[in-house]
Amino acid sequence: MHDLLKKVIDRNATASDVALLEELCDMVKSTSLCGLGQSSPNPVLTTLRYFRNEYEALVVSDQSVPDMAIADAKETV
Amino acid sequence: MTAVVVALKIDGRDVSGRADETILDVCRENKIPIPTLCFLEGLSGWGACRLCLVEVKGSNKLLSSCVTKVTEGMDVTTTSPRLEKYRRMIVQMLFSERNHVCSVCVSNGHCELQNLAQKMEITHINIPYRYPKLPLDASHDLFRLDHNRCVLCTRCVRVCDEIEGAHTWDVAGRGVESHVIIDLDQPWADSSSCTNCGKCVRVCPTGALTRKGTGVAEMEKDESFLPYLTRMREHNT
Repeated sequence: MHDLLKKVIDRNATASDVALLEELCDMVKSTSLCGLGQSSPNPVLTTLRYFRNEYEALVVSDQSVPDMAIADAKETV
Repeated sequence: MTAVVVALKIDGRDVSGRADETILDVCRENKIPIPTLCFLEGLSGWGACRLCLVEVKGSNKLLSSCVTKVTEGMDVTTTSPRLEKYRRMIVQMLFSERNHVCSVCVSNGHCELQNLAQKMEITHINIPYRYPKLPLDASHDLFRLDHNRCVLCTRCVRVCDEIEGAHTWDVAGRGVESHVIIDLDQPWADSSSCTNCGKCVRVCPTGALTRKGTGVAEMEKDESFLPYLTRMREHNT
């Protein structure tokens, strides 16, 4: 999660990285046993909910990634 | 003591079980498949791998079925698109966490992690690999410990403590730094508590603990001794 956020801040992340970040947060939140795991993704999830445009502004376009790879990634998710 | 029988619903089916059984026990009795990794019949429940998570009506959390006891009127769902998505992600995260290179692993073809991935039809990992630099302990005369293949299921820790009674194994470190250790984090050969029984090697789901002298795909494991051993001991007490 931290690596993905860093990638976003460094302007290296693509839209698929943000999607992965969101999925990862959702998964950690729902599958964790302890309260720390269940609540620690909250800051990321809420910033994604209320400040999504800021994430999108930092994301570089997916054009550099071949379309095939994106289609594959979407299929397996 | 008479056992209390409770009635519950699993995947819409009416089933019954003893009150001291877990959801997973009842599912296994009724041939309802739930993927597991850290669970092993004969050992205590651990609830660490999170693969056996199920949805229970009335609870907003997902519960691990290997440590949740059945109660009267429970309504359990064992498979849903949401659960399957999480389970796939958990297996992918296990692969990305350490260096699980099946093609050169002695447990290739007999590995529970590999079987899980095959069953879930995972062809590639979406999460970036971490490639940690982890050591290998081959100091013991008979066995080998490879941290690269360890999934931290703690089966070795539990079998050594509960069945053998030696408690040679333990888990050290936190979070991503967690790893299994022998005695006071010393080489296996220097362990004073290890009895060389090899139970840990037999219960390890992956190629983390193996017998020396095995080549690629030659390490076959046999865990069937465990339930018998536990049941026999229960009868004796």
